[in-house]
Amino acid sequence: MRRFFTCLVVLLLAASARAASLEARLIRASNSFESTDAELNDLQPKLKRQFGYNFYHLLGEQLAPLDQKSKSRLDLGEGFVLFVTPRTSAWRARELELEWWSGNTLLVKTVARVPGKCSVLIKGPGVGEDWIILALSMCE
Amino acid sequence: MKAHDSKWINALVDGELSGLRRFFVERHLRGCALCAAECRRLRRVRELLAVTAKPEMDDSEALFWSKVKRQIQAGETGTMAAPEPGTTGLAWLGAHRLAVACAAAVALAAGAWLWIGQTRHAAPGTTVTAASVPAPRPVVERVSTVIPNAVATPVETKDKDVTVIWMSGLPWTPNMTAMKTKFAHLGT
Repeated sequence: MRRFFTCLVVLLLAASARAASLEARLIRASNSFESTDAELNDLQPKLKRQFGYNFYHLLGEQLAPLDQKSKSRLDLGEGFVLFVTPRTSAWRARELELEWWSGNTLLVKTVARVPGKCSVLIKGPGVGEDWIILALSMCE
Repeated sequence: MKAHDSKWINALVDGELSGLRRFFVERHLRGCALCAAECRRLRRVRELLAVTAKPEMDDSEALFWSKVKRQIQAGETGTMAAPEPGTTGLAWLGAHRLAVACAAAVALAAGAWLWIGQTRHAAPGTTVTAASVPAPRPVVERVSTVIPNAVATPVETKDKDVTVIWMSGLPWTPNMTAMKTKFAHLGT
């Protein structure tokens, strides 16, 4: 019985110590591609519902660890950079300060509370007939 | 008026008579010392009742009348049911003291658990979870852009786990190279 409780405590501690991270994906939405990238299969239905495009191409992907309260810099490719600053963690959501830059231009600055397994999608600039989209998903 | 009928004297004292009936009763009282004495006695009782303070009732008015109603109904059916205590808050609380105390304790514990969970800031690297509570949706607390003529708007979607920040008014470019050049020289 004592071993069982020890294992239980260890498991609980291990579960509570899981590090959360933010997955940032830079996406190009288009109707001229032939298919959606396999890496975006999980997000494709939601992207289609929100933005209407048929196909989505992954331009870049980075993971920001949220175990420290320092600012992380994520280079997403094509000159896009995301700065992530974790602020607080309350109940099931994490509050994040996000800055999305393109080159030397700050496109958008936001503070958002993102619960686990939830996503924030940012519709960015238009390129030709396509759109640039930033998808942020919490991984725990 | 029938001679010495106290029913009419009661009605007169209660102000229920009018017209000819009242006239006949009053005329009888003028000629009948017995009925006049009865009338004076009834008026005196009425005055005493009017000046005497209302008695304090243990039950509320609603409970009292519910008891009366039930007793009448029981009298009609031959059975007597206990009056429902639910009509007065205090009486009901008194009867269910233990249940109320337990419910209050449970409510307090639940409130404290939620409050602690919401205000607690987890240490870095820890995860706060509550499996039985449905996941809330992402909330955009602040959003802004410094690009001229551009607007960033948070939009709640039909997908419970998705929030969209819609940026409109951003400069359009024909291709990625032009976009990089454009934003490199936008100077915000």
